[in-house]
Amino acid sequence: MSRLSFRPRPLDIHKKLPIVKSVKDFEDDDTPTSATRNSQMLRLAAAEVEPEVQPLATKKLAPEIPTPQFVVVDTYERDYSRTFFQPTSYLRARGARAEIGEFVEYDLDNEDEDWLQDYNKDKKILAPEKLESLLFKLEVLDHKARERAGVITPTLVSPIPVLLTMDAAIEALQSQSIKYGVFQAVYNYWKEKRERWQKPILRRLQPPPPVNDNNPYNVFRPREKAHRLHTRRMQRRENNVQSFEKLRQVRRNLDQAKTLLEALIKREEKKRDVLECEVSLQRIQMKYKHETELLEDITLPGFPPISSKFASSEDEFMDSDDLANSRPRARPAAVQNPPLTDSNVGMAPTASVKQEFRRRHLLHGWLHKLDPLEPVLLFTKPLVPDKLAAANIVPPSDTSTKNGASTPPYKFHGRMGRGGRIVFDRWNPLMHTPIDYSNSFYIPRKPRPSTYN
Amino acid sequence: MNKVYGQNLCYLAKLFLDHKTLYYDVDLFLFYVLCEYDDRGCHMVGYFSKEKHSEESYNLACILTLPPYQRKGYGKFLIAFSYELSKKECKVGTPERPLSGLGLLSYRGCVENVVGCVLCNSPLLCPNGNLCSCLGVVNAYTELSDMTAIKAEDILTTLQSLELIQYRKGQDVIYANPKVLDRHLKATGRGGLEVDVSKLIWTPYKEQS
Repeated sequence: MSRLSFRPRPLDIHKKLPIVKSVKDFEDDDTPTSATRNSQMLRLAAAEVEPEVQPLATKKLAPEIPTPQFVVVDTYERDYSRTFFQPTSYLRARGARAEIGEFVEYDLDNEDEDWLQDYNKDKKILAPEKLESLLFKLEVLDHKARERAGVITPTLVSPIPVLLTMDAAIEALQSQSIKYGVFQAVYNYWKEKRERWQKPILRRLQPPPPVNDNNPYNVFRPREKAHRLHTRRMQRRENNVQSFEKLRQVRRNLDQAKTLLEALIKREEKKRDVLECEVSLQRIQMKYKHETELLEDITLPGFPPISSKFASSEDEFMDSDDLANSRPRARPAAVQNPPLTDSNVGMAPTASVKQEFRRRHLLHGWLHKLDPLEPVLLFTKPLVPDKLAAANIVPPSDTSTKNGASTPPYKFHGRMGRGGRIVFDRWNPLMHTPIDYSNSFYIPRKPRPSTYN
Repeated sequence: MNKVYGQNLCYLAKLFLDHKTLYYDVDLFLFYVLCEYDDRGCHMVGYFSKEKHSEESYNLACILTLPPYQRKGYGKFLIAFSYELSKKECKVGTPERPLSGLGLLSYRGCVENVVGCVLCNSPLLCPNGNLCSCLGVVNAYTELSDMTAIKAEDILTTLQSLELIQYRKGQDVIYANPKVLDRHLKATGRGGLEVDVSKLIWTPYKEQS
C-alpha cells in the first residue's frame, strides 16, 4: 500500500470530498502518507538548496535591478491643479469625432520634435501645436482623397501612397494663415515621412495588418469572432442588410413555389375530372347502346339491322382523338379510318344507316343526344335472331314442362363478341338483366378534403 | 478614440509584461482601469483586460499593476474583482493561459485566501449566509466553485499545492484543520484590498444586435 501511495493520484473533481478538521481522524492510519512524506522531502531538499542559491542571488540581483528615473514636468502644477472633484455620475466617452474641427488627434513624436527644432533654428518660426495641427489636417485630407479614389483597404496589404498634392493641400488649408514657405516645408516633411512609413502616420487611419501576417512586430490584427459553429447563441446571428435581403429572396422564392404548386394541383384536379367524365361517358354510352338496341328491337322491327355485314364493330369505333378534337359531325367517310378493305363498299350504306340511326334516336327523347360517331364499346352489338337463324343458330326449343311446372321461356340477350363469337353475359336474377347492365362501375368519389387554402 | 486608448494601454502594459502579446486587436476586449483619485484627478494604478466573449470561460486576459503601486494589494484586488464580475455573470472563471510566473503566484495566493476562508467556517457558511453542506462534505466542483466563481480545477490544484488534499480511509479528503489553514493564510500574505460588492454596479457585456 505504501508503494501505491507514492504514485500521484489524479483527483476526480466530481467526487465529493469530506472535510476533516483534526488529526485525530487520521489515527487509524499509522504510516504517514505519501503526501506528507513528499512534502517533508521537498522541504529538506529546499532547505539544502536555499542556502546555496540565496547568497548568490542577492549578490547578483542587487546591482541588476534598474531604478527608474523621472523628470519633473514644468507645467505639472498648471496641468494638474488641485481642483478635481470626483463626479457623482459616470464619465462617458466623447461622442462624434471632430475631424477638421477643434480637436487635434495627432501628437508629435520624437522625430517630429527633432525636425521642428531643426527647422525653427531657435527662431520660433512654427509652434509645435501648429505643426501638430497641420500634420493632422494633412493626414485627414489625404485620407479623404484616397476615399474618393476608392483605394481604402480594410487591412494593410501594400504600401499606402500619398494622393494629396501640394496644391490641393494649400487650397484646402487656406484658412490656416500660414506662410507659403513654411507650409511647403511642412508638406514636404510630411510627405517624406509618409513615404518612409508607407502608411498613414495617424493611428486611427492606419489599416490593421492582415490576419495571416506572421510578423510579430505587426500588432493588433482584426480578429473575427471565430469558431462559434457549435453554438447557437443570439450573439452569433447577424442582423444586417445582407441577411435581410437574403431572407426577402427566400420569401419570394417560397411564394413562387406556392403559386406553382397551387396551379399544379388545379391542373391535376382538372385532369382527374376529365378522366372521370370520360369514364362516366363511356358507361352511359354502353348503357345507351344496350337500351337503344332494346328499343330498336321493340319499336322498329322492320328496319334493316344495323350491324350489317359490311361493317364490323371496329368501324363504328371512333378514334378518341377525333372526339377530343371535337370535330363537327362530318361524314363518317371523311373521319373514319377504315380498317377493312371491304368497308369502303359499305360506307355509303353504313352512312345512311347511321343517319337513320341518328334520326331514330331523335325520336326517343333522351336518346337523341347519342352521337353515332361517338365511340361505342367494343363487342356490345346485340344479337339479331334472324341473322343467327340464317346461319343455323337457333335458340334451344321451348321444351315445355314435363311436370307441368312452367319454366319461363328462354330469353337470350347475348352479344356479338370478338371474331363473331356469340357471348352471353351472366344474368342478374333480380333485375332480369345481364349483370352489370344497369349497374355502373362508377363508384362515386368520396368528397376530397381540401388540403390547401 | 476609445480604440486608440485601448491600444495605448496595451502598449504601456507591454512595457512591463514581456510575455504579453499584441497579436489581436482590442475590439474584442474590455478594459478595467483601476485608479486612485485625489484632488488632482484620477491616477491609474493598474488595469486588467477581459474578453467580451470567451470560449474557454476566461474571466481575465492580462493584468498589470504599475510598478510604483505594486505591493499594495491592488493586484489581488483586481483578481478578486474579476471573480466578482464572474459571479455577476453567473459563470465560473479562470485567467487566460498561459499564466506568467508572477501571475501564477498571485492567483494561487488569491485562491488560497478565498478557499481557506471558506473552509475555516464549518458548517460551511457562505458569505451570504446560506448553508452549503451539513455533513462536512463538499463537492469542489459545484459548491466551492459556485460560491467563489473559481474554476474547480483551480481550487483543487491550489488545495493540492497546499497539501490539503490527503488520502485517508480509502478516499481523498480535504484536510481543513483551522490551525493549518491559518498558517497557510498567513503565509500567503495579506488578502489584498477587499472588494465591496455592494458598490459594484455592472451588467455583463452584451453585443448590440
